[in-house]
Formats: sequence, C-alpha cells, structure tokens
Amino acid sequence: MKKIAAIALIAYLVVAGILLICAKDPLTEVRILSLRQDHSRLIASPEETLGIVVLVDAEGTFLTDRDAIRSARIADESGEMAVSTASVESAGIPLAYEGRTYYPYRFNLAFTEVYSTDLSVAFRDAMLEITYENEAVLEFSIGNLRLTFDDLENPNHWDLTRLFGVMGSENGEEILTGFVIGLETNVSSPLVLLGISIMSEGAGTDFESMVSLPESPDRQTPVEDLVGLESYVSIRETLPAESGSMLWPGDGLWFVPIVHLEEGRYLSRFPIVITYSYLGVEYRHVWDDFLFFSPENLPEVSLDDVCETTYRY
Amino acid sequence: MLSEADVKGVFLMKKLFIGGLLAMVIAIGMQKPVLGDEYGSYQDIVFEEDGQKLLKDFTTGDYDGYYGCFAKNYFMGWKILVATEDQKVDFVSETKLKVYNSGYSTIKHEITLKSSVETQFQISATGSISVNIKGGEKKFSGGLDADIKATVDYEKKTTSSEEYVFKINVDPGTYVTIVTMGEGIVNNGVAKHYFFWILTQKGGWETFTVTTEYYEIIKERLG
Repeated sequence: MKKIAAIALIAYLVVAGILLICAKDPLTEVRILSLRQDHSRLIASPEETLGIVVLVDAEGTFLTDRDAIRSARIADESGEMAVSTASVESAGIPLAYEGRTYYPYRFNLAFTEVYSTDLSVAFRDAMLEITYENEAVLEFSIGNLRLTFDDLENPNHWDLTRLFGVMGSENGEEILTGFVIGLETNVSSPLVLLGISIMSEGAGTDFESMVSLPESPDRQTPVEDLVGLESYVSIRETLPAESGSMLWPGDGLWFVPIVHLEEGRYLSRFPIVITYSYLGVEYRHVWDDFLFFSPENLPEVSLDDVCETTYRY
Repeated sequence: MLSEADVKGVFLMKKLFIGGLLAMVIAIGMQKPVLGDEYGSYQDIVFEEDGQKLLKDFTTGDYDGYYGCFAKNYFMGWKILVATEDQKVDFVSETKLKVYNSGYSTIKHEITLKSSVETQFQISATGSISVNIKGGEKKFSGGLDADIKATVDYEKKTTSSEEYVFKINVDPGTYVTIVTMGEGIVNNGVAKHYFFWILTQKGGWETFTVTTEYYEIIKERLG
C-alpha cells in the first residue's frame, strides 16, 4: 500500500513538473508592426481587394481571425471610408525584428460598400481601423492611399502596346525612375496628349520631360540619358505637373519620368490614366495597376515608416 | 579455444558484414542523378562578374579540378567545395503568359500572377547528388541541404508572398505577352560524401535565389 502511494506521488510530481515546464505564459500583449507606404490601386470590380500587410508577434490570436472582425474603415484627417475585410491570410515566413519574431499577415480589404465605376479617393497618412466582435479596436498606420474606381471600358482611338519600368539609384536607393510606354494609334486625325498620371500621393509623372525613344532602352538606363539632359533629379520637394498639352508624335515608344516626393518611395505598382483629346473632345484611357517589379522581401521602407501598435489583453 | 565451426562462423559473419556494407554503398551510389530545375529553362542568365559559371556549364575538367581540391579521404559525412559564392546574375525568365484573342470582339482578360517561395529559391544537382521534395520544398538529399545552408547564404528571407491580378482588354487578332526579367544570387560548387573512408556520393550542387523580378507587358497585333 505504501509502495503504491509512493509511486502515485512520484508519478503526480513528474506529470506536474512536465506540465509546469511546458506551460506557456499567457499572452499579455501583442505587438503589431505596420508599414507606411504609398498605395495606388485601381479597383475595377466589387470583388477586387487591396492587401495591407502587417507583422504580428503572435500567431493564432483573434487579431488575425477574419471571423472576429466586425467592421473596418480607412480614415485620415479629412475623411473616412467603410471597407470590409474579405480575408486575413498568412503572407509569408516569419522574420526577426528587434529580438522578436513577427509573422506577416495580409488583410485583404474589399470596397463593396462604396464601389463605383468612376471615382477617385485619396487619403494622406491614412489609418486602417479595425473593430472586433469583442469591442477591441486596432488602428494601423498604412501611409498614403489613392484608390481609382474604373470599369476599364476605354475608348479605342489608340492602344498601349508595351509597358515596363526603368530603375535607377538615387541617394543610394534603388527606385523606379520612370516607365517606357508603347503607343499605337488607331485613327488618322491627330490626337493631343493632355496628361499622364500614376494616381499616387507620393510620386507623379513629369509630363514636360516625356520623350519619345528611337529604340527600347535597358531597364537600368539613367534618366539623364533617356531625357537627354546633363542631370535629372528624381526626388524633389514638390511634384511637377502630370498634365500639359503635347501633340501626339505618332506610334512608338515613350519614356515617362517619375518624380518622388521628398524621399525615394517604394513604388512598384500603380494604374496609369492617360487623358487626351481627339477632334476637340477630351477622353480618358485607364490602365489597371501594373506590377512593375516584385522584390524578394517585404517592401523596403525606412525605419521611420515602421509603425508599432500594441494590443494589451 | 575456438573450434573449426566457430572460426567458419566468424568468417561468415565478416563476409556478411562486408557484403552488407558494399550493398549499402552501392545502394547509396545508385540514387537518381539530376532533377529538373525551373531556372534551367530561363531564356538567359548572365553573371555580373566575368569568369563565373552555372553548374550546367561545368566541364569535366572543372569537376576534376574541384574534386582534386579535396584531401584524399575523409571518415564520414559531406565535404563541400564552393566554386561560385553569392554571385549576382541578371536573367530573362520564360514568358509568364501569352493570350491571343482569335474572336471578333474585344475581351477583358484577367491575368493572375503569384510570387512564391518555389520560384524564389531554386536548387539543382548533378552526379550522384539528388534533390528531394519535402513539405513542398526542394532540398538536397542526404543531409547535404543543411551543410550547404551552413556554408553559403541560402536561408529563406522571403517574408511576403502575393497574388497579383491585372485586367487588360485584348482586341481581336492581338497577342498579349507578359515576360519577366530579374536579378538573382547564385552559389554553386561540388560535394563529396564519405562513409567509413569510402566515397559514396559526389557531384555538383547549385542554389539560385531570385531577388527581384521585373515585369514587362507586350501587345502585338497580327496582320
């Protein structure tokens, strides 16, 4: 009897010891990192979503559970817009930052409540606010956001035949310094080019410096060589005009320089809106947001643009 | 004092042991060589630095030279020699997509591209080194994967994967093509595996890491 009691006691102590060793401390807080970026997207259907990547230092919490989300909205100082969270998904492998492991999650936001076929909205220093079923509210800083709603039903006076980005180095940073665009007209009467916009809050085209190209350039060609100037500054304190007036020079390739506002922006994807006139009538031709390049890692942003939010239980 | 039967038994045991060992060595050496790699189908791969070679361009003389760098025999495990370390390359990938509208009216086409770990981290091997797929991920077999990761910078750094959808109008009689170019990092070399001083496997290995992909869209009208 004594033996059985001793064995039972030892077994109890062993099991209790294992449980104590394996027991994890309950979560007291979750840290979330968001990236302030320039988002420029074209929304061509109610189902299309905008993906916002955040880094969370815990897995499997209600914060990244789609079903735990009651509502969401994007807001800045001047306005706000209701969005719905279509899904929340893992967005890659974890990474270490300041001694902690962060798991990337993508919040895919849909615009079903505000969808339109002709609307453009802009938010500067926008916040994504998410309200959960348990009344918790999280706010992430997401940077600048420009959304262009369009059904892509374009007139057919001309067509875009080619598109690719030109990369350059400015202050040691690799940035998109412009893009090459191929144009082919379908009409005999002259067209007048009135503007090319990339619908971004942090960058814009330099309409006056657009040039036609005799041949397709390499994607690393310096802007100076393409626009025929001794020097060309791609990062400026103010953005040049994206519009003007230029007689369509005929079919062929054009180089459109991009100027970044105040700092080198991570600009890899944006729509292109070209306005022109034909026989005295103004038209608009919209291209869906094209992915010019995709890097191996998360977008490169400066540490100033990494924003930390802490949720405490 | 051993009897004649005992001595015969010991010899038989010895024969069986050596026979078993030989069978094991032969079995290891007969693993399937060379598995296909995606970057092998790229249209062009150019090193930024002159004098570098991809594994597929190694000649018999290259292999002999690299194998000659190893000491005669090792006791056990993999021995790795790095021939190309962290060399930058530019590449032109295969055509991602080609759409043709053979109809009589314009169609709105939705193009979906997805960045994935499989495309960003690729490996290949030659000789008796083989590549396995574990958990949907290609790895060098027989413990070589860990040794190579410890030797060259080949840890996965990708933290984001994304599906990208692009809508485009395709006119009748028009081709739309999306091609990708990019930059990557190549590491390669040769490796030998020893088992009780016996060479069991040898061959070439290579890692190809895509760092950035650039996209280009081309619309061509036929006729």
